[in-house]
Formats: sequence, structure tokens, C-alpha cells
Amino acid sequence: MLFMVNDSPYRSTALSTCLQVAAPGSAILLYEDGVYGAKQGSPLEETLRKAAKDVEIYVLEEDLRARGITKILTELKTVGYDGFVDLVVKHKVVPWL
Amino acid sequence: MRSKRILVLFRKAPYGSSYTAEGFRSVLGLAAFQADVSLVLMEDGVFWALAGQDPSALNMSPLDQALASLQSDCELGKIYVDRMSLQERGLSLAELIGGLEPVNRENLASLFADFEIVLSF
Repeated sequence: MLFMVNDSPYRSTALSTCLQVAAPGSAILLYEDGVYGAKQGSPLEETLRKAAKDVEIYVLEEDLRARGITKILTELKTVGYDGFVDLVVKHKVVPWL
Repeated sequence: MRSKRILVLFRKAPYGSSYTAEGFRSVLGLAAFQADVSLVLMEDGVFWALAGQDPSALNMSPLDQALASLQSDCELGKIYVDRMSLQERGLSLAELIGGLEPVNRENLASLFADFEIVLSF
């Protein structure tokens, strides 16, 4: 299962509730404003670090670059659009709008 | 051909955006094609089920009645509501439209796994 989060954790509960629901073995992709959640120093940093042990958390490179975010949590993996496509093909998608 | 099982997730409050109304229209359309559709209401999405809405001053139709009509007029699966979201908002099941299926947040992952397609509004 691939949860897709596209909203900033500063204006939306999307990332925090998604982390509660995502079971071990599932994946989360942060894209659009969702990538702000990947930044070091965010209030969800500890939650994300713990979650990353059981859940694969991906961040879309193009959206990071567009927003000038360079310091992301080392537990997370970056993917480009091609990797995004691979993830969507591999998993059942759960859009977390 | 057996239709795929579809779960539609609602996380936003009605009226504040067009998501709920558009999601309702989508569910209505899916139900018209005999799709096997169930709904999950969580976070502010649970406010959709609060009984007694009167948005006439907003020139809109009451979405709680629309939700209830899905149950009565369409062969809908279940409408699940996240218990924790109700608690966080001081809501009880008694204040909502009838016929809802309360679900615990820790059981949502297995619920999502039961459906082949998950949509979100």
C-alpha cells in the first residue's frame, strides 16, 4: 500500500494521521507541499524517524528542489518522477488528500 | 463481470471546500453503475455525518441528507466512521445520521487492505 501525502504538515494533519494508519510494510510518498514534512527540524521528525523503521518513506526530488529544501531526514529516500511511477505501479495507491 | 471493491476516503469537512459535494457525486455515479462502494469518514470528514445540517443560506443542499440517501436509495456498502475522530471533536454516534459503522483507527489499515481501489476526497 502506498500512501500519498501532498500537504504541508504545518497546515494539515495529513502526514501525522497517515503515519498512524500506515501499517508496517507499507510505503508513504511525500510530494508537492508534502515534502516540507521531510525537512530536518520539523515537529514530526521523531515520529518520522521511528516510522521509517517499518514503513518506506519516499520524497519526490523534483518537489524538494523546487522548494529549495536540501536538509531532509537521512531515514527517508528520495525518488524522481521515474521512481514515482515505479512506486505507483508496484503498490495499491491510497491518496491521503 | 464482478465490479472491483472501492473504498472512498473523506478527511475534509463539508461546505468549506467542494471536496465533499464532489465526492458525493462520484459515489453516486459509482453506485449507479452497481459498483461495490464503501466510505470512510475520518478527521473533519466525520462532520459530514452530523445530523441536522441546513446550508440553505449557502445555496447548497444538506449533505447529511445526501449521505443518508446514499444508504437508503443506493446499494452502498458500509459507511465507516473513525471513532477517534469523533472523540477528538466531541461528537457521539447519536448525533450523526443512522446506520454508520464505527471503526477504530488501528483497524483502518486492514480495512484499506480489503478494498482493491481507494479514492480520496
